[in-house]
Amino acid sequence: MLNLLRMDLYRIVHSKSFYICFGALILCNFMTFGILLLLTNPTLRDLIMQYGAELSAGSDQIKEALSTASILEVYRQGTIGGGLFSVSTGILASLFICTDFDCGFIKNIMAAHENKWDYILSKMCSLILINLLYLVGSFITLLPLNLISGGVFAWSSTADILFYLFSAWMVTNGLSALTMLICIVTRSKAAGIAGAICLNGGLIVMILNALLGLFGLQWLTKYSLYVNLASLPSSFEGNYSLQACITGLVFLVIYTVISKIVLTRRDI
Amino acid sequence: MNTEYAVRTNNLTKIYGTKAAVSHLNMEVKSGDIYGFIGRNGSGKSTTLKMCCGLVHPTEGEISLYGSSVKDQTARRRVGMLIEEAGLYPHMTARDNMVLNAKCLGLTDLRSVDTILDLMNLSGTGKKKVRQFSMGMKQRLGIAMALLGNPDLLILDEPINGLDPEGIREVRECLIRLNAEVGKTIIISSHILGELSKLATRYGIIKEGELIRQISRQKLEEQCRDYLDLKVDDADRTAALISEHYPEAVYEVFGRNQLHVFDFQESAPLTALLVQNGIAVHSNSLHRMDLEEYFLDLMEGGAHHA
Repeated sequence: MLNLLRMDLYRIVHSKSFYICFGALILCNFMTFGILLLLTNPTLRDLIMQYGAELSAGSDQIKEALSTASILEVYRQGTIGGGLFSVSTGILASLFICTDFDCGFIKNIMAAHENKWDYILSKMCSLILINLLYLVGSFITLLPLNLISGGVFAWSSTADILFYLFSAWMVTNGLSALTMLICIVTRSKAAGIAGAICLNGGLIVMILNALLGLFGLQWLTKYSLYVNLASLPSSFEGNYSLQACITGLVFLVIYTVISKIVLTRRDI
Repeated sequence: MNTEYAVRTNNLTKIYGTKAAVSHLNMEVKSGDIYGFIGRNGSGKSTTLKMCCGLVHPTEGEISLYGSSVKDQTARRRVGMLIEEAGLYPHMTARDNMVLNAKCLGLTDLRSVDTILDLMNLSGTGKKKVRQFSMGMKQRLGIAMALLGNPDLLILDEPINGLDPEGIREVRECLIRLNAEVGKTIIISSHILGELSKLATRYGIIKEGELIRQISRQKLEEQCRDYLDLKVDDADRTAALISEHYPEAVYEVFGRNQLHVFDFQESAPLTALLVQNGIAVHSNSLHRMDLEEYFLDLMEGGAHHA
C-alpha cells in the first residue's frame, strides 16, 4: 500500500489539476472576501450601486451583520457552506481516480498488487491528504487578506478554527469516499464529475429532502454528508457538535468498504 | 518452487454471460521459451493473457506462475506485462510514467528507469508528454514499463502494433536479446505471423477460446517443410525408384497413389524418370507452407488437426 501511496503522491504533485482546483478555490475565496469588503465600505457600496447593483439590506443592517462576522464565518459562507470546497475536491478526486481507468494505468497497478485494499487505501489516503491541504491552504489565504484590510472581520479563536477545520475535513473525507465509489463503479470521468457536482453540491440532498418531506421523513437528511457540511458548528459546544465528524467517519468507512468490494468483483 | 514452467494453466475458463471467452485451456510455457500465442480477433488471447496477469478472474481453472498461484504476490512480481494498449498517463512524460510504475512496484533505485528508457530508444524524449507520442513510441514505452523490476516473464499482447518496420525490428532484436542473454521467458501474441515466426521458439494456437495446438518451432518447421506432392498410378514403385536414384530423399507415401518428397526441388528430372519407367504421373506440385498458411489451415480445420 505504501508503494502505491508514494506513487499517488508523486502523481498528485506532478499533475496540473491539483493546482488548478486549488487555484480556483483560492480565487473564489478572494472574490468572496472582496465582495464582503465592498459591502463594508460605504463609498464602495455606493459606487457599485451606481453601477446597477441592488442591495436588499440597508447600510445599517449590512454594517451590523458584518461587524459580528468572524473570519471563520467568512470562510464558512464563501468556501464550505455553499459546497464550493466539496465540489472542487470531488472534481479533483474524479479526475485523479478515473484517469487510472481511462488511460489503462490501472492494469500496471493491478498486475503488481493482488490485494485490492492496497489501491483503495492508497487512493483514500491521498484524497484525505488533499482535503487537508486544501482546507488549511484555502483558510490560510484568508488570514493575510484580513490583515491587509485592517482586520475588517473579527479574528476567530484558534480552538474554534481547529475544531471547524477538523469537522469540515472529516465530512469532506466522507464525500471523497463517495466520489471514489462512483468512480470505481462507473470508471467514467464524466460520471465522477457529475456525481461530485450533484452530490457534493447538495442538489441530490435538496431533491431528496423535498421527496422525503412528502412522507414526513425529511429529518433523515440531517444525517447526510452535505447537510452536515453546510451546518457545521463553528465551535465545540458539547457532544452533539461531534455529529458531523462521526457522520463523516461512518460514511467514509462504508463507502471505502463498498468500493473495495466493487473493485474486487469486477475485472480490469 | 517449480521453475521448469513459467506459466501453466489447468482447465482455464472464462465465461462472460453465457459465452465462454476461454474454455478449458491448458497452456504450458517453459522457462526460457518465447511463446508465440496465435489466434483470430476475439479468440480469447487477450482474456487468457489478462488472466495470467491477474487482471481478470477465471470462472474456472487454475493458473500457476513458476509453480505458485497467480494470486501469489511474489510470483506476480516476476511478471512484466503489456496488454493491449500501453497503460500510460497521457499528460506526463515517458520518464514520469516510468517513475510512477517503478514506485508502484516498490523500486527505490530509479537508475533502471533511465537504463530501460535508453534500451528502448526513449531517453531523448525529454519533456514531451506521452499524449504527443506516436503509436510506436507508446508501444515502446509500454514494453519499457513491462521491463521495470527485471521480471523473469514478459507477457506482451500485440506489442508490435503500430510500429514501423524499423521499430518492429528493434523490438524483435531487443526481445531476442532479452531471451538469449538474460534468459527471460516471453509470451507474445501478434497478428503479424511472419514477425512472430522470427521470434517464437514455441507456439500456442487458440481458436474460439480453445487451445487447439501447442507446438515447438522445431516441430512446426518439420510440418511446414517444403515438399513435392506427387500423384501417380503406383506409389510403391515410385517410392522404390526414388530410393534408388535419390538415396538422400525423404518421402512419405499416402495410400496407393500419393507421395510427398520433402525438401525436393527437382521435379522435372524426377517426372521424366518416372515416365521413362512407365509410371503415369497425374500431377506434381511444389508445396510451400509458412506459419501463416499453417495457422490458416488450422483455423479452417482446427478440430481435425487437434
